[in-house]
Amino acid sequence: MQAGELFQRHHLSVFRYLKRMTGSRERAEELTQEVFLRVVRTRSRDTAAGRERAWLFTIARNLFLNVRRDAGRRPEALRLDETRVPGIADVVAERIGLEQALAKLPVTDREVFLLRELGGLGYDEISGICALTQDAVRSRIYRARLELREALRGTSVPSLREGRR
Amino acid sequence: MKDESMELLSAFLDGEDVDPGALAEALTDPAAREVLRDFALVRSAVREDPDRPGSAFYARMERELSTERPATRWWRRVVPIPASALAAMLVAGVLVGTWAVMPSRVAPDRAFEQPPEPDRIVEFVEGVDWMVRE
Repeated sequence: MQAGELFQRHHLSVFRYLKRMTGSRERAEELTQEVFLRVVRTRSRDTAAGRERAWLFTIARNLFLNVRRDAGRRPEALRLDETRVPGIADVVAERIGLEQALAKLPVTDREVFLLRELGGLGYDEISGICALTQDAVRSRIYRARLELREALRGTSVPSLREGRR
Repeated sequence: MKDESMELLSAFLDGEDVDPGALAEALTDPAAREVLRDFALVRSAVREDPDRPGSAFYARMERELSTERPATRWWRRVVPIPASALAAMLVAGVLVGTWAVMPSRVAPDRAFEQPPEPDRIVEFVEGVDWMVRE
């Protein structure tokens, strides 16, 4: 598959994954660009059909780990001025609440959760990428969902807030 | 509600294999149905991200991707002769070979028409080496 086709199909999910992992959309843009530049530079793209996503997210994750190692700190929650969410204030507030809740998750929990939800990867693929057992992947995703559920119930996602009644 | 039941619901939402009996048992609890609904809402909230990279990003990527060369297999790079040229060469070789061995083109070999020269002669003498029987 050509890099252009891979880009069209997957760049948004890679960008959104990296934005949530780094806490910065500018950094996410740089890293997303780097992911696809590496794809272009890679002569052999004989990745088995259906495994391209896992390959792209492996590159994205490695780039994120490099950035994190260099920075030596945990990513921060997105700043308000970094979010370009058009629309009314409560939609923005909901979005910010979600980003903050995600940023508060332990980095490995956030990683496996986002690989599942944004990358669309199965537990076996995430297990291979993150060097975890499938049981650990399952538990971490569950834990992340539970944390987000609690966080969002207490803040701004109306459907969850209503669900508590 | 037990943690194992909620974890099972989470895995079920992800399309992973779960024990159907355990799933059915978990779903009899109204709290489990609420958890499943909330997990689906969390998923929806996370996936509904309208944010996209800026226009400068797309301009850069368009430049980079336009320089991409088509991916080729190694043997195509090593042997760039198209298969049709190879086939034409093969057919030409067969034709030349057939023409070269045609009977009208083969010169008669006189050696095949002469008996070989003897390298020794054995003589049998009647009365010494052999007898006539009556």
